[in-house]
Amino acid sequence: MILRSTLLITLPLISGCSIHDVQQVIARKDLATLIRQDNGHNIPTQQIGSNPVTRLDSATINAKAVPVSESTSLAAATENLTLESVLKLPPATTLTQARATMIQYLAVTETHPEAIEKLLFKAEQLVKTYSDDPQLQTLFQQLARYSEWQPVNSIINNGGLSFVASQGWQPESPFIRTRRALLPPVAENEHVIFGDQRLVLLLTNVAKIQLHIDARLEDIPFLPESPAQLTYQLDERPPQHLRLADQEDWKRFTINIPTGEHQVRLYQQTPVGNQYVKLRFDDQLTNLSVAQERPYFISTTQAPLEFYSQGPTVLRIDEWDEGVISYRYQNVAEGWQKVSLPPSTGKQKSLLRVNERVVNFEPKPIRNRIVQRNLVPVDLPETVLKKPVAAGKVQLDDTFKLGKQEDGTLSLSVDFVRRNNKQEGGKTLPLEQFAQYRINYRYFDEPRDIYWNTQGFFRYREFGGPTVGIDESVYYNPDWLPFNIRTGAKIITQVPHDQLEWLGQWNITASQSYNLTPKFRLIPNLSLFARTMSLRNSQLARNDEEFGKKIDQDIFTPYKADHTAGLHPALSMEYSPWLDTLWTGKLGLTSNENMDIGAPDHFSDEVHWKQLLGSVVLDGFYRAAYYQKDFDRIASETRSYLGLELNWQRWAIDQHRIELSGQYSYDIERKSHLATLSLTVHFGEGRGYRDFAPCEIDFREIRQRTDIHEQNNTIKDVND
Amino acid sequence: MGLHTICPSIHGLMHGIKPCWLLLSLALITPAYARVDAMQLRLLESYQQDLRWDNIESAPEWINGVKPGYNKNWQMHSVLLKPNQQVSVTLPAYESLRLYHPKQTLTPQALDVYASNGTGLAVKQALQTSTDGHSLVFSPKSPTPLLIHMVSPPSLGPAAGLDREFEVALFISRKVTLNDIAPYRNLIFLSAPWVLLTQEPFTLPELYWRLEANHKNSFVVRGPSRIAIKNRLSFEPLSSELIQDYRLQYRVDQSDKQWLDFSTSVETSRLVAEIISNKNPVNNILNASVGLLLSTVPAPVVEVVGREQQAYIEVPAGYHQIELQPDRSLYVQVLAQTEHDYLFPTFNNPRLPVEEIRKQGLLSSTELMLQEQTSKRIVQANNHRAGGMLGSLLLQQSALERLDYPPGLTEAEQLRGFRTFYRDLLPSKKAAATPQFMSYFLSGELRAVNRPQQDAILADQHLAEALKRVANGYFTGINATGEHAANEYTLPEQHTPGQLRLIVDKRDCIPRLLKIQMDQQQPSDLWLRCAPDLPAAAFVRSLEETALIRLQQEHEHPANSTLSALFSAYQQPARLIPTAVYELALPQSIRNIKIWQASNLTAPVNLALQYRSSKPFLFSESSYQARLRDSSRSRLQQQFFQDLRGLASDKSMPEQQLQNEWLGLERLVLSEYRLFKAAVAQKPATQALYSKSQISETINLAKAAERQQQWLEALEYWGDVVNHAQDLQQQQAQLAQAVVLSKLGEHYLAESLRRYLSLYADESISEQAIQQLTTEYRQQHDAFALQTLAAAILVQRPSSNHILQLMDALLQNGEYRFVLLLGLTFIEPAPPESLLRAAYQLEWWQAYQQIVDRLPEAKRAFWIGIKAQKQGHYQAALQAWSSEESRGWREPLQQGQDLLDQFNHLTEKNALPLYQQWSAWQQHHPGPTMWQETPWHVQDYAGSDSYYSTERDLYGKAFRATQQRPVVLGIMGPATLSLQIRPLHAAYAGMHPIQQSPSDPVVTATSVLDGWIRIIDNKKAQIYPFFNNTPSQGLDLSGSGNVLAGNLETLDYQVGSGWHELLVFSEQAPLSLSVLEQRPEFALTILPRLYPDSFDNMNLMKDRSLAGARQREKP
Repeated sequence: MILRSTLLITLPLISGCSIHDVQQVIARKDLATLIRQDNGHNIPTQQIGSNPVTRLDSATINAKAVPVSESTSLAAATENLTLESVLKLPPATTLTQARATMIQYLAVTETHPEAIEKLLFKAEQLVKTYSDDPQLQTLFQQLARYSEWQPVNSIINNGGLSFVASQGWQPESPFIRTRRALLPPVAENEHVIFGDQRLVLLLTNVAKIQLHIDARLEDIPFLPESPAQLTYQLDERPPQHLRLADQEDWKRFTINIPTGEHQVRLYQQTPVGNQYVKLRFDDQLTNLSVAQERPYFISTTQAPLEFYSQGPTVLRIDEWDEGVISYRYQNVAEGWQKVSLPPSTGKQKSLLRVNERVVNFEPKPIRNRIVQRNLVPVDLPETVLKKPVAAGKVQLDDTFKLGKQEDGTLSLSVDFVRRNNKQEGGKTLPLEQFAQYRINYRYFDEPRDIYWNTQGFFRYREFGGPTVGIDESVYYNPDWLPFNIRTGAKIITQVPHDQLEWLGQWNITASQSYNLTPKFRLIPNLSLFARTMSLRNSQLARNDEEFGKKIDQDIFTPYKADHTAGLHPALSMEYSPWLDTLWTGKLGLTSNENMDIGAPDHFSDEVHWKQLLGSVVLDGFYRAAYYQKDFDRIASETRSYLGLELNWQRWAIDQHRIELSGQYSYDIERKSHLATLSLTVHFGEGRGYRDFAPCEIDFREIRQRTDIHEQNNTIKDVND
Repeated sequence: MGLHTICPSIHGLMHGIKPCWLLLSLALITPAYARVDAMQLRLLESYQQDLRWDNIESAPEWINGVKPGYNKNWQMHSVLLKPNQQVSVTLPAYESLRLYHPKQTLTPQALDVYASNGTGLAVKQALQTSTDGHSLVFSPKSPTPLLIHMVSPPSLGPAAGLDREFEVALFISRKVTLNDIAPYRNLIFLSAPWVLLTQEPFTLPELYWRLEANHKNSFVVRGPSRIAIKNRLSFEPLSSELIQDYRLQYRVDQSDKQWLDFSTSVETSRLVAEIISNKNPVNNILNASVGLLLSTVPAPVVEVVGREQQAYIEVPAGYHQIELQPDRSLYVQVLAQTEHDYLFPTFNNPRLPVEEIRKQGLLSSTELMLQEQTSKRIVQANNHRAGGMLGSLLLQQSALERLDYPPGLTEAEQLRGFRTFYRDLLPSKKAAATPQFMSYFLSGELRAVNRPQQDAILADQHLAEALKRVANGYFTGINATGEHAANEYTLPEQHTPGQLRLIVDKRDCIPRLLKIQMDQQQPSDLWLRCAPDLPAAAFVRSLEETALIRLQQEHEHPANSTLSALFSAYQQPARLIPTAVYELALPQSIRNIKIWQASNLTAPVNLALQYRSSKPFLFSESSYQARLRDSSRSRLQQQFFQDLRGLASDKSMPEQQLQNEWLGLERLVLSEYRLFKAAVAQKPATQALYSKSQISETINLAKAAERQQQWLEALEYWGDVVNHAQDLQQQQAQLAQAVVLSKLGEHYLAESLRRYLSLYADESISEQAIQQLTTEYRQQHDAFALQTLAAAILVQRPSSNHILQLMDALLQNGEYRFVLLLGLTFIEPAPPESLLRAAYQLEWWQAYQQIVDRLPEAKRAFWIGIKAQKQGHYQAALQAWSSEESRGWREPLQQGQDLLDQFNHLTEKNALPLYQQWSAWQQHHPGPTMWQETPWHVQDYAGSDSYYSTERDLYGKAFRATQQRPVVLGIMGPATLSLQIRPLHAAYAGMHPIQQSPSDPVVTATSVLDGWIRIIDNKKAQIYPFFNNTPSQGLDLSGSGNVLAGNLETLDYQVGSGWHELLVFSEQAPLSLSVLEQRPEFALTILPRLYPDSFDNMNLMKDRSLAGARQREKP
């Protein structure tokens, strides 16, 4: 909790992080972040995210234990669905019941077509009750296919027959009359073929004749066009076809009929409902005119029309009256009934024709008029993709040695160094010179985001014998931390006289860079160091000038001895006015061992101008430190340097890299000339700068692309 | 080249601005969708992308199996596999795996190599051999990391030479990309208010400018330069959709306006917060300072924003004022890239520097940028099929050729995610009779190694959308072993290569081998691995998973969120199950897929298949409303009417994008119009005329006959008038004929005549005919007929009134989006209730709120309450419904709450009564109902049918019932179903089309089916007739063999209470069946839809044990 609170308070101050960033540092990683929204306020909350996949292992409801009730629908239950059961059905009181009843009638009719008259009788009652319902009507029509109208023939009594002559097409059936009413007028000399009807001409020719026939398709005007095919056949000769279409004028065809008795049949090939073919014959053949006489029973008051009919059924009574045929329907009760049809009220006599429904065991399928719609499909994709080429082989060109490319980078260096103690003034400030041989192994552990740098060195010193050291540094830059961590530990040993002297040091730095603008950034950092050394309390080392010349300043300086631990906060600023120019400045302070940064041991600053020039980087710098007077320092003092560094590098084969670096600096206070000259060979094996931690290489992005030798592995698909 | 040649001649004519640059820049800025930076692409072209091969030595690349060891001779790590041993490694996205033996030639048979996404379904892969024979390479080009499992084949004995250990070194490719070569480093200040925005974790807030919708902002920039406009959409608080489209209008000086189009989704990987803005900077800074002094952190204002988008504009030489105007509020940062960004360009310039690229005019021809524009145009154009798939694949193809530019791949992936989805593929031959079930699953995507878990951040406003994203699948079992017991699947015609997603149920998982065969290709092995390879933390947490976690928080206990009440408000409740998932490449030509079990196991395995398909491009609510602001309603209405009548329109107009949105609606309307029109004659016949008196006399006779109910005679008289009158008189007679035909029971003729009149008669007659038809269809509850009528009339006689009629019909058919399009776009004012109903269903809360605000106070309560309860705010709903008028809603909600409370006292004894109470509560749900397709009731079937609507580019699915293998429905009643059945016709058998000319649209006869649908409900048999059934037109049935789908037969079926198993089939013809269930239109979400599972889930509310079981918890 303390850590959490501390971080909560301090990190945002240092880093500019938001509170939510900080929470992420401390909070569990399996959090789900939810933004709760309330009246326009967005409040982020983090919840522990448990897996929403759970197991239901205590089901308490057995689906099949729930009491079951029956389903309902228009579908007819087949159990006990018999003629008897259907006939006993109670009268339908709702439309739904009527439909269900009709479906049951239909179902029974299919197995008992002989009962159609009884069922139709009931069905007609339903249709009459719910005449506005098309579905019921459709069901009824389906049912009605099992019956047809036939004239009654069990006539008992009548007032005689009357033959009514008619000219032209005068259909008797109300079904056809309904359709005729919707058609354009049919002339008296026009024959009509309707549905499955066939017109048969029987001719006995004394001489060969040519029968000219005009045909025309007649359709109900508001129904969609539907072409027809008229077929005509002379005797048993192959039938001929004539295509007829709506809105077309009369089409004439001629049949050559030889002498003798012949038969000409005319019919539609595949008739559809509500459509007719009109035929007109050559005028010379007057005997082909459309005239017919239809017999009507005369019913008078004295001799009404009487007949027997077996009920239940329905009778259709057609009455002819002054050229107008009217229809009425009459129910016949169960069993054989004697039906009497006197003249209509107020009339002396009526001309009647009576039809009754009789079973049709082979109902014909309905021929639908299907209009082939002109579909407008959605357009196909406007382009096609390149077909992928499946290459069975690849050509691999391994420029770099396999097994090495994931390893680290080994570097060998030799340095020639002339330096003095840069950390503090005082009397022990001898210059030291040495040649140093370094070996570095850098490795970037990408999965963990860690840069490792292991260094061993050997110094051949001018005075005091060689120095050997080992230094391990780590740069850690995970996404989940709000800062980078750089830490290092080193041990340096030397035998300046007859005893092994050593220094061990550990330091850790937390830093982060913040871009204020794309060209300017701030890098606050906070370092902690701690060291231990063999000569910390050695008066010899402090006071003996000769010893001071011998001892490596990395193992002992008075400053090191007096400051075995400390905090070092600093703020760096980087400004890059051009991509190849970098101006940096750094301000910092270092505490004494008491870690009190309010009363630091010293302040420091430095400025650099780094300039890239192709393969060379120039670094001109000024660096100063201001040491405060304190318990281990009698007076304050300043140390400052002015310098220039030149770094040149060249890539060789296998991405080996030769790096030459020279640095000159001038100690302003001591008026000393200091220098370092280094030569390093990096054994790259294709890794380039990969193993070098960020900030180790200046102008990395530019150098990466401009300097690297054009060597690369390749992979290329090859077709078999 | 053309520009260069014309430049000199223009140069002398203009002053100030160099015309060449201006022309060039305009040419470059015309594309509207540029997010890919052509400059960076050109800069990169001078450099080769580094390719390295990393030897796998240990974790984390190595996952499990035989561990790699160092081979001194080879000087690399290798794995030594004995027969049947395996090793698993990870393969990062877009990388390749290489198997290498320095001394031996490798053959693909040496190892079985499988790839999986870590969830457990591994698919055997074919490897490429290297030309030298020493390497095998696997390059899946996968956008996500994969696990690769390599298995040594079993020993075949010494004789076969395969009993030896097999050693191989494993390598993974590493492609290294260069960073920005010429970064955009100059921050440009805008005239808009600035804000400090934190958007990256652990970084300082950045300076942004907030551009309000439709406000102009400007800045001056000196060219030649290139500016990058980085922006984030600021989501409106009521904007519920995750994907949003917006536009940024810009103008350079006085040139024409240009538009930059962006598509984005909500930012889910980081919190973006506004720290300080200059709305009141003094106060802000003061507050911040005080906060710092008090050691508290100033509270940032968290914003719901879109993912960052960029666009690039080339600015010609000289100073230019650039004006920006977004159609939605944005956070914007403008950065400029300048030429000469090097102090020593001679030494340090890139090989082909910015200035040279510009000079050579290379930007406009950059391949990937052009492909991006083409792809985005294709995915956004609804006028062609498969735009989403084609566009995203096109971009992916190009992006894969530029692996050195990763944003291209990101764009391609985003495009794929935005514009495609997975469609269920059900077996066309279902092998086992075990019940099919629907379940939810999480698809699982491996995180990149070293990438931390980025919690998906979810705002309340997006909860519903995120829940709708939870994937579900229809799982069918495979019980037996061998090819004969295979499930077979038939794909509709594909227009592009695609992907097939296999999902295997991992409950009671047993490792096994399955085989999949595509057409006649060699079968591939599928290896189901039950033991988790990686911990749960290795997978990306998706937004939908976060949404489910959010639901868990509501319950305070771990619950199966997909069975919860709030989930039920958006999706059908069902279990969320652990699954193994893999996405296979699906070649375009594949039509048939077979899957069977190769392992000799008796335990069944359940699996589901899905294939990737295109989504139409649809705007979000906010995007659509923003586009609407650019045009007036009258102009849009005019445009819409022109479209319906097929009149050419100006494609450059701003309405074009809206037109694209309407295409679906237009297709619906026009297909309905064509359907309607096809049922009547195309033109009236010419007539012979009677005199006026003759006509008058005949009319009187007709009317007299009507009065006497002599309908036939009346019809004949009216017929006489029709045949001998003209115009209005003729039409009046026809209308009278229609009435008489109805009286005669000739409904078909009456309806046809009215249809004819509604299309072709004068307006007064037409309106009467329409009214009569409407009344008739309403009486029959035939919403589809109403829709057809309304659509046809709108096309024939476009008017606002007819739009209203269409809206009404569409609403009845659940076409809510179209209702909103019509109501918000073309008419003013639209009926608020219709709009509210549609907006409620689509969660278009902005429109909803606006309309509610405009309602009279007394009418608001219902709408406020119903929305509140849908979002889980039950107390707010009760408060809104506190008046007596709202009692009908308040009481059921309270009852629901009471029921919920009773679960705290749940025992085994009262479970059933409680269940029944819940069931009764559900049955008495108030409010209107709607029909919802409920395929999850289907448990078994002979095969599935996939429908394609030719005219509307829509897909549907249904289930095949044969006499031998009926469709089996399993349902807990009570429920009201609508069984939608299409008898299947043998193609062309029995059809005798008359030979016609090719252009003749008519056939006069066709296959007709009569028969009975048999329904066996808990062993009780029932029958329902169908007759005169003819093949349906415009409906393609894929994978069905040689059959045609018949017209729809519908049976409403009220399922009784308790468990019902319904078998549906016909002895006369195979049937194709889909199931709809009646649901409340405004469902109370206090309780989920009742099922045994959702009931059981309620147990969790009393903290009754159920432990979570993450199947992939421990590796």
